[in-house]
Amino acid sequence: MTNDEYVLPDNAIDLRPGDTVLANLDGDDWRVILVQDVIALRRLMPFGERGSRRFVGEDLLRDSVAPAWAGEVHLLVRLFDSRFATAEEAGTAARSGQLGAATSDVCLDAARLTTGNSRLYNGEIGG
Amino acid sequence: MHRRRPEDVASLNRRIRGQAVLAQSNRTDIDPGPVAAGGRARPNRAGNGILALQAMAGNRAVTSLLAQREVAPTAQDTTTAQPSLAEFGLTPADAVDSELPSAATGTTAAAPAAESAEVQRRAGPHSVQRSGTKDAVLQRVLGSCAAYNGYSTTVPLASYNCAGLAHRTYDYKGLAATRALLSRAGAGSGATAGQIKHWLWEYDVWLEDSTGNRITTPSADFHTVAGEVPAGGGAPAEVYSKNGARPVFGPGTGPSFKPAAREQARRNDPSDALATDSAGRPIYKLRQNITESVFAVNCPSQTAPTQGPPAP
Repeated sequence: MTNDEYVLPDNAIDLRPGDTVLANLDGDDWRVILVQDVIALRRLMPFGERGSRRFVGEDLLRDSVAPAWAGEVHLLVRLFDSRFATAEEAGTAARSGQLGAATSDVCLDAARLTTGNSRLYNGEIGG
Repeated sequence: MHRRRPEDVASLNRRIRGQAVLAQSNRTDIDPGPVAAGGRARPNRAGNGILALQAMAGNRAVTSLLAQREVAPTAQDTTTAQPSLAEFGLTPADAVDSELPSAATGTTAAAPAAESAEVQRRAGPHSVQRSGTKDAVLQRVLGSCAAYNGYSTTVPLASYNCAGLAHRTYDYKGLAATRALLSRAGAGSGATAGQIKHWLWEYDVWLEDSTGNRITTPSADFHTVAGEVPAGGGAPAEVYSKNGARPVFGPGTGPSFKPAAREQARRNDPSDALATDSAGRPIYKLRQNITESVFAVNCPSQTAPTQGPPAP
């Protein structure tokens, strides 16, 4: 690993931008998630008084305390509203394009999509 | 805060020449002088060896000296290996003390040259030099605790912090984990030969702009270093320091790495570049309520550090 590399957690599913994931995030319903982008987060701290409209990276302030989300992988996802009882039903709905409305640019910790609660959907999204 | 007066440059040059010879002899007798938090060496008024040279003339100077050491190891040859400021492309203005300018002056400190930053990133560890395509490790007086005979240069700098270095675990340890490890330790005052002496500083830190205005709220932080108590006792001199994801500095004494109360902030990555605002004015880091704790632990059962080409 180099300084510019990020590694997905061991139990996270192997993701790439453009992947579609069937995930059971809340332990109840399955949802369809389109991975728009893989990102890293950097906390910004207000720089001076309100009105300056400026910020500075938290990492600059830190000595030995790790900045928030340092080294972690996050995702920007398109999260479809429809919920399904099983992963198979979610896949079927994806193929037919019956996924309903969706919210784009939702930030999701990649660690939440584990091999235990998620699976890659290899088919096309219909509709 | 004070800056080195211009008339000190001549003596500075003499000191560098003296340290050129010193760098080619046993390094264990070098007083590292005061070092800022995380281990950036700063020159002091007394001779403080290669750390001072590195701080004043940059890593190019250190690398050059070390390379010359390989080529010209004899005492006679050392007399020809005497760098001056000019040899490193520096002017007397470059030789001013690296201590910070007064906030009232708003003086802008120059960011390190890209090449210097690159050399530091690649050869930042004082124990490692680059000679052509081959990396080598300087000879030092090694202690009995293998893990503390230097440190592993093959671990990426961004993947561990001061605590990971101090405990030679090469990971990013928070304060809670660091405290937990040291909670089983004895008092540092009772450290005996072969034990590892740890220093832990805790404090509040914030950023200020060049006019002295606080620009972030205070935040708790810490710094820690460790080194082996040498045979016969006394203070460890083979102590290395690392501030966050920044480079490793050393060797020095433990107290020499006590965090500075005020210094120009540096990027929290291996480039260690000086931080400025969008107008190029320096951003300063201030620390207050600094407490110091010292511990002694037994040598951990770890292997000797892995040496090789420095990892970025």
